[in-house]
This record gives sequence, C-alpha cells and structure tokens, in this order.
Amino acid sequence: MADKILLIGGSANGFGRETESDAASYQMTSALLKRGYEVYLVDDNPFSFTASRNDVHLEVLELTAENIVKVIVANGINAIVPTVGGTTAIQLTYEVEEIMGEQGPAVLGLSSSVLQASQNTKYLQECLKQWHLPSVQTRLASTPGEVFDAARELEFPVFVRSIAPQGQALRLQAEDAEELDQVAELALDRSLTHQVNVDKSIHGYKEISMIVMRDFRNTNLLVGGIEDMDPVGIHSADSIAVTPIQTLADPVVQALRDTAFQIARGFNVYGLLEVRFAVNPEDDEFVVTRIIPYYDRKASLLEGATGYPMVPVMTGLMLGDRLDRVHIPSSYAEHTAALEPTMDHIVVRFPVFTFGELASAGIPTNRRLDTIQKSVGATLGVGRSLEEALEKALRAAHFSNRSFSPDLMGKLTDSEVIEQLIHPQDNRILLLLEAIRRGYTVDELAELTHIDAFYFYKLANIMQLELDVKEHPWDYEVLKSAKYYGLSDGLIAKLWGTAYESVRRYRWDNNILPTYKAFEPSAGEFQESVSQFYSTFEDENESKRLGDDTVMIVGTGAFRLGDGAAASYVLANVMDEFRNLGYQTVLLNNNPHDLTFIPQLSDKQYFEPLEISDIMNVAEIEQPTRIVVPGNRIKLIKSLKSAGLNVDVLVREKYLETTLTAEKDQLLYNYFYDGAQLHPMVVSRQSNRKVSIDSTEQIDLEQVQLPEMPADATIGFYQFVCDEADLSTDVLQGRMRPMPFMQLAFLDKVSSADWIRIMIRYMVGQPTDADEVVVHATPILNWPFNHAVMRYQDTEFKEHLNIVDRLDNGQFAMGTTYEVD
Amino acid sequence: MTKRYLILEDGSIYEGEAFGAPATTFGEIFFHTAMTGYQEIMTNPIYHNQIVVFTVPTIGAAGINHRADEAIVPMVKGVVVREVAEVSTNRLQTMSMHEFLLRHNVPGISRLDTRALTRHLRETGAQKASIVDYPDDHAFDQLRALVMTNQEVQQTSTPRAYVNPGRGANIVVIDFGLKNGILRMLNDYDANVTVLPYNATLDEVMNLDPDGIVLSSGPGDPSAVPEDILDLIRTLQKEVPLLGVGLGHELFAMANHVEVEPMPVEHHGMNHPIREQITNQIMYATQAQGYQVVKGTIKNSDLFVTHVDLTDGSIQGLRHRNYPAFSVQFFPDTAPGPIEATQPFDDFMDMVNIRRGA
Repeated sequence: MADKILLIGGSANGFGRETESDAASYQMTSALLKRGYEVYLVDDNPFSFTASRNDVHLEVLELTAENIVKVIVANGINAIVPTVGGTTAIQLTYEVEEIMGEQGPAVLGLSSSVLQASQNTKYLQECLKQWHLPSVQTRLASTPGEVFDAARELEFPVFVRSIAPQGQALRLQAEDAEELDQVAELALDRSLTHQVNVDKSIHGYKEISMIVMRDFRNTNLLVGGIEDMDPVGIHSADSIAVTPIQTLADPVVQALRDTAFQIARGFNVYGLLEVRFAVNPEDDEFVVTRIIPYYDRKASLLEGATGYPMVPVMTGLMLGDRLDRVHIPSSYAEHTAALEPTMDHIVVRFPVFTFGELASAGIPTNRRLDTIQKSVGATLGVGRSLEEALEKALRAAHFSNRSFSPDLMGKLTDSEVIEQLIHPQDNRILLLLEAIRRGYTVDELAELTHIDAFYFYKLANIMQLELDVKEHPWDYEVLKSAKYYGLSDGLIAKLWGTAYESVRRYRWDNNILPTYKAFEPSAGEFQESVSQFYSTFEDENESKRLGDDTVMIVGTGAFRLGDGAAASYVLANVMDEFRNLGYQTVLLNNNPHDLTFIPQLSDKQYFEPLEISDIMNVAEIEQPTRIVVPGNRIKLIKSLKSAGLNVDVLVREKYLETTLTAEKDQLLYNYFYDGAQLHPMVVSRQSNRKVSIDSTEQIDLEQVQLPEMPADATIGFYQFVCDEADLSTDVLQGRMRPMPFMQLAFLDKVSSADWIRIMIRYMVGQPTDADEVVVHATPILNWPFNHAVMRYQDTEFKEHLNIVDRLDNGQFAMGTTYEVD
Repeated sequence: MTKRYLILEDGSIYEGEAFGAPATTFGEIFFHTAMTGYQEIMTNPIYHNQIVVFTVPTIGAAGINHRADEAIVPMVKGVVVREVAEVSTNRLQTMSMHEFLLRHNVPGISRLDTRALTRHLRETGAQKASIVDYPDDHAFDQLRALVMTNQEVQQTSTPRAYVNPGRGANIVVIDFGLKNGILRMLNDYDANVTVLPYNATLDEVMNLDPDGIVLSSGPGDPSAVPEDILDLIRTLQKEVPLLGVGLGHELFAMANHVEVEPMPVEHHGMNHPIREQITNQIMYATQAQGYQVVKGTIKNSDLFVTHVDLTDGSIQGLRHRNYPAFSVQFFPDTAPGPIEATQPFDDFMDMVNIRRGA
C-alpha cells in the first residue's frame, strides 16, 4: 500500500479550469490524511487553497515532468494522483510514466491507456472501434482526390483537419463539393506530412455528457447526465447546460449510460470518468467525442446539482474501495455512495463572458461563439422548472439589463437576427427571446439554431410571463405565477415601473414567500441529512435556521475578470477561519466551481443568485450573527445594514484605477488596517507581467507619509501605488486603495503569516497575541523568502479570444503562477 | 389554465393546474423517482388503477412515441407532475403528453409541490387519491367510499391466447398484466412466443410444448391471484425452465411456500443498487414494487436468494435449488431502465437452449 501520495496541481487557473480541481484536491487531501497517507502537492498556483494547508508537503515548482520526477525521487513517492489538476496533471502524469516506466510510482485511478485516450483523439477512436462503440467517422487522405472520396463516403458536411499541422491546428468545414475544393489543398499544404483527416460533421448534434463512477470490481454507477442546450459547434463550456437531461427518451439515455460504462471498463478506470457524446436529433444515433478522466467543471456541476459525494467516492475508488463499501463522510446516508442520484429539481449552468469588460477597456473582440472556449466563468440556477432555473442562472450572471422592451435587441434588422441565430454570440439567449418576439415559430427557430424545440417553448413561456406582468400591475395571480417561474423582484419592479422594495413588501403582504428545498440524491425517497438548499416558490419550506451564532458568507458568484480564483481563495480562507473560531457558517453562492463550496468549509450552503432580495430572503431565515460581504457590493451592504445586520465588509474594488498596459514598474506599499491603525506589511513591485517582492528592496514603511485613510475604511488590506520609492516628509498624493484580491492571495501565500485569517480575527475582535506580534513586527520578519514573484499568465487570452492588444494584466489575467527563493 | 385539485384519503389537498383529460379520477397514489421513461411508466400495466407522481420536475420533453408503449393505452388513472413540457412534433415525437392523455381520457395535474407531496407519501405510504375540480366534502366522501378492486390481474391479463411469432425457442408467457418490454426482450432472441391468459390450465400450457415459461409482471396484491396458479407453477417448474418477473416472482415465491408481504415503503424508481449474491456485482434496474418476499420464510423452502436491494436489504431475486427456475423482483426488460439489468433474460435463454439441446 502506498503511503506517500503526490497530488499534481493544475498550475495557473485559466479558461479551461476555474477552482474546481483545487476544491477537489482539498477534499481529497482531507480523505487521504484521514486514512493515514502522507500527502505531497506540486503546484505553482498562488491561489491554490490546498497548498495553503499546513498538513501537506508543498513543493512550489514549475509544473514540468522533470520537476515532478525530482519530487518523486527525492521524497520516495509511492503513488501519484492525476485527477485533481485538470489537463495539466493528466499530461504530466503521462509524461512521468514515459520517463520513469516501471520504476515510477503507481498512478491512482487511471491506466496509461486512458491518459493517452484523453489526450489523443485518434487513439480514443481506435479504442472505441475495437470495442465496437460509435466514434466520429474519419478517413485519412493525402491527395485532393482522396479527400473527395472520403467526403463522398461520409456524406457532407465534413471537417478537414491537417495532420501534424504547421502552426495552429485548423478544422475546416465543408458543406459541399465547392467548399471542399477550397479547403482540401489548404489543409493538405498545412500538414507537414501532407495528410489530412476527413471527419463526418457532427455539427448541430446534441452535446451530452455522462459522468460515471467505477470500482475495481467493475461496478458502475451513473452520477448524472448533462445536456447542452447549444448544439455541437459551440464549446461545451460556452453552452447553456442543463441537468437532468431533458430532451432524450429513456432508451437513448440508457444507451449512453451503458456506453460510458463500457468505456470505463475498457480503460479500467477506478473512480470518475466523464464521457462526452454527440447525439443526432434526427435519429438518436450517437458518437463518443471525448473522454475526460479527471475532476472538471462538469463534475463539479453535477456534484453541486445532485448532492452526490463525488470527491470522497472517487478518492475511495482510486484506492481500491468497492462502490458499496466506500468510505464517505458520516454526514451522508449509508447507502448514498451506491445510490444513483435522481433529481427533483432542474439545474442550469449559464456561462459568463468578459466581452463587455474588454470592450470598455477599449479592446476589440469578436463575440461569435465557436469550438474554442470564450467564457471565463459560470453561474448556476436551480429551480423546479426550467424557466425558473434559467431565470435564476441569468440573474446570477447579472443580466440585469434584460427587459422585454424592444430597444435592447430591437435595433437589429431581420437579416441580422437570422445571421446571429445561425452564428450565435455570447448574448444569444436575448436574441432567441427577440426572435420569438418577432414571431418566428418554434420549429423555424429549432431548424435555424439546432436547439431543441423544447427550449423555445420554455423561452416563449418566459416571454409571455413578462408580458403578463407588464400588462397586469399589482395583480396577485400574475405575481404569484411570475415568482413561481423565477422572475426576480427586481425585474417585476422594472416591468411595473416601481422600486423593488415595493414589490417585495407586496409579496410579503400577500404571503408569496420563498420556500427552500433540499438538494439530495434520492428525490425525496429517503430521509437524508442535507446541508444544501435552493429557493423556489412552493408550499413546503425545508430550511430551518441553523443556529444562534452563525456567520453568513456572501460569495462572489461567477468568475468574471482576472481575480475570480483569487477571490475564491480569499473567501475560502475567511470561511475556514470563522469555523476555527467556533462559528457555524452559511454560504450563499452560485458558482459551482468555487472553492467556497468545499463541504468542510460551511455548515449550510444556498445555491442562489446574489441579488439583494435573494440575500435578504436567506438572512431572514438564518438571522446570522455576522454577514460577510465582498466590498464592491455597496448597495447590498447598505441594505443589510439598514436591516440591522452586522456586516463584515471584505474590502474590494471593482475597478482598479491603475492600468498596467505600459512598460513600466510601479512600487506598492502594502498595509494591514486594523480599523484604527495601518500596519506595514511589505513593499512589492508590479509591472504588466508580474508582481514581485524583493528583500533588498524594502524600505521602512513606517516612515512613509501616507494620504489619510477614508473615514469609513474597514478592517482589511490596503496599498499605495507609486512610481518610485519615496521617503520624503511630504504626504504622498493620491489615495490608499484596497489591495486587489490577486495580490492579497499572493502575499498571504508567500508570507509566513496567515494574513487573511488574522484579518478575520481582528474583525471579530479576537486577535491572538501572536497576531499582535505579527502586525506590529517590522515587515521583513514575515517574509521568509529573499524573492517572491507572481507572474500573470495572459497567453490564454490570445488563444481563446484572439486578442493581440496588450492587456492590463492587473485587471484581466485569468491566472498566475508564482515562484520563491 | 384550469385549476384542479389532488386530494388524498388522509384529507390532504394540493392545488394545481389541469392537463390531459378534464375527467375526475380515482386511484391509489404512489411516487416514481425515475428521471426518464415517463411514457413506459404510464403505460405499464403494473400501474393499472394507480395515480403516478413523478418526482422529476419536468416530463414530456421527449414527446410520445409508439416505441415507448408498454401497453396499447395508458394504464395509470392520473398523472401528477410539477411541469409538463410542450413539444414540437417534427422529429421522433408523434404527439405531446397532453394530447396523449387527452385522447385516452386520463387526467393530469401539474404545478403543485410534488416534493412536498412525495415527502408526505414517504411517511404515509400508498393511499387512495383523486383528481377533482373542487375539493369539497362530496369529493372526499366519494374518495373514501371508493373500494379498490382486487381483480387487477383479471382486468389486465389478455382474455385470449395470442402468438408473437419467431424462429427460435418456443416460449410461453403467462400474462398477469404483461408489459411489452418482456415481449421485446424475447423478440431479441427470436423466440416464438405464445401469450396465455392468467387462468391458463396445465394442459393448455403443456400442449404448446414450451421450451421455457415466463411468469409476467403485473399489478396488485399477489394473494388476490387465484390459488390455482400456484399449483400450476409448482408443476411447471419441474417440467420446463421458468422465469418469474415482478408479480411473477412473487407468485413463484408463494408457489414454493415462501411468504409475501406489503412493503413498508414501496420502490418505484431505477436507482437502487441491487447486488447479485453469487458474483457480488452491483447493478441498477427499474423497480416497481409494493410487495416483498418475507426473508425469514425462505430458509425452509427450496429457494435461495440471488439478488438483494442494498438500500433496505429487500430480496430482489430467488432461484430454485432443484429446478431450472428463478425469478426477479425488478424489471429486467429495460423499458424503461438500465441495460445491465437484462442479465436474467440471458440466463433464462441459456437454460432454455440447454433444454432444447441448441
């Protein structure tokens, strides 16, 4: 049995990976430690919450196979875990296996063939063929004539892909012989071997993901299926995703489930496997398009949506547990691991894009969606109808400018509408509503968009609902129906031309109140102990006040700009510290991939949009002792305070003044503010590429004459930005700004003090003696390294959004890495 | 939209909206936790005279099509669900759920708190219910006066024998409320199937010279089925390979002097882990079960347990020690349900083929 286990981290967060794999590795670490293993982690992501644990051995190294081999050899690692570090960990594990061969450590859960198949489509197709399972039909061609033969055999439309391409890989679509004529030679010329693959097009098929669990005795279980509303052709992360599957009949679902089982068996997976399918809506025939053998966004979506303990189960299975005897935390019912989850609610995952923010920073982008991921985050909407789940997901994504007044999409000409129906953009849900408003029939729209007609009926219901609301101000029945289908007080207020408080009061007076329902995997069949809830407007409320001394934490929702992962890291630390201090914690958030949803961090979770009314509704039930709110929610903070709640603000600025597009360095003087006094932390330096701390560059921050702190400043971290070191006796011009979360997370990581936790202890008025020493010490005492640097990783923006302009990395960079010496 | 009410025998009232037929209906109410297969569930004769509550919040989005029929008409007396989807009929769907129920005069009720209802039924167990226009005393009086029939098998079984021809083994199916899935499975083996009514005599069965016998699933209380059938089973199991499904399993148990009792909590879904004792393999299958074999009574019989439900330990399969005869409580015909559950048909056909010398 292995006793030293190495988790391979995922490095910088990016388009393909938010914080879900970190959340999984955190939980997995707890489970492994409990079973007596020593846990090692290699990661260079400063926002890794797992890496902030003091019970793991952390190696901050660049994620290369060589470095991992070094760690394995130096520490006598017996086994590695490739499933909680995204594709990075999968690739590296494969490389480590190649290097170390038989001498290498055991790879837990995954065979080398599954590692290969998840990276190499051609190999996957060969395996599928061998097992008589359907894969994308493809033909090899090395002359234009062969390309045409292949296309005739497969039938148009086809995709042509260069083998071993020079430069970026291309997938060229050809609808007919004429188009094929244009692309065949181009694709052949692009190939170093002058060869192409001709694939049968699956454009317009339904995209379905199935996630299964398998143990070493070949017991398989389906955790769930996810249906993308958008067809193949739009990246799955950019699609509006729905679970449970809505539009497939039972035999098709069963066939997909069984195929996923066969693949898990074929690759001898111990643990989790996600299989992605494309299903032809015309005849229900399907092909397997991808396999994903690690914990990714779909896994975290399903874990959130079903309440199934996915990480504890996959941890047990990879160690050789049986599915019917796997160790899961005692908060779950005994048979939960082996029960296939069944849902009595609908969950919609709604992608969030950053085009708007980029545009307002003057950076041009193309908003059209395609097979390359463009979204930077996602929200979850939960309801008892698709309408409600969709409305809540939309609302959580802050689509606040939506209204049915014709001015938003009304300016588009009919041909522009059709163009956008065929080539959808990020705001397509508004466009679909506009198309319905213009009288396109459901069948026409389904034909143009390849979106199942079911969704258009649902959108038409929403349209009709909004019309009814608008035409019947203060009508009880209409209001009840609107709330039932998830319309927010804010939207109703807008349609009625009134303030949201009035709608809210009217609801109260008429007893139209939210009821909270539990997420649990048995759809009400069993009495499960449940900590997750969502709201709806029905008869029975299942959520009771948790306790007398609770802290409610308002999460940050979808990742948007660069600091999503950092904000998630900050909040995870905040929650953990409140629990350490003996509070029970209640979380409100809607990003299923967020660290805050780690079960160990809270006693109760609400999957809800984060508008004022959603938060007030929960606050009314929980009556928390304290409520923690990110500082950019100014209106919310005001409302909560006026409702008499004790608000702890996590200072955060939404828009940072400094733009870092120029080639220059700036100095940052960093302080901790204890509510009365500023305590110097460290001097750091920032440029467009990085933030760094150098022990030789420190000055005595006590001597700096800072501008005054604003009178309403709250406990937290602040910084002053200046071009050159300045110890002059003059007061510096400018203002103290809240420290950006990315920098706070970085400082927290590289300092020997747990700054975020110290802040919380100050907030509750319980700093320890050690805390007092830390905050009063000379800054350098807290910096164990000579040099620490955090580098922005912005190459992803070029790859995903085709942005060539220089970005302000302080604002946009999706992820960072760090190093220390 | 028309308001309607679901009322329960215990006095509970749920307000909702009408879909399907505008008729008043009565039946025994139960909840089903499957997320797919609504049409198969509504048309399964096992649910004759019952009102189904779907815990999944939306059904109907896959439309209605004849391939998913388990009988020629819906068998349930009413349908309760949070939302019913409208569908386009331009693809594989021939009509909407609403239209289907309307045509067959089955009322439905939607837009009610089905989770609250399910949690309630979990506590009370099955009871009588009615979908009505108005929940007044008269409606409750009628509901309470309703006597549920104990002639379910008699009402759902075919009155006359018929053949579903094939070129393979000669299989006799005794119909206690047969669902099409069982015939589809036997078709897959190209069996020549003769379906006989529940009251077929020994001679009628044996004159067909069967290679195997299937005791079909069906509705209702197994103790309400005429005693003669148990004698018939006792004789047949000695002569030819025999497979019992659902009610057929319960009758097979009773024929071998194993007792059957009503379950404290009924199983209607497809997500329970079921363990095959001999291999220790776990599989999932559709369950639709209101009765169970009494564990303690197996010991002194000629049967042994082959399958167990891991959520409550209930017995899901039995086999005879001396004869090629066995039975499963769950549904092995995948209509709806997991494909791995079809193993009993393979085992049965193996027995049949051994006997045939094929």
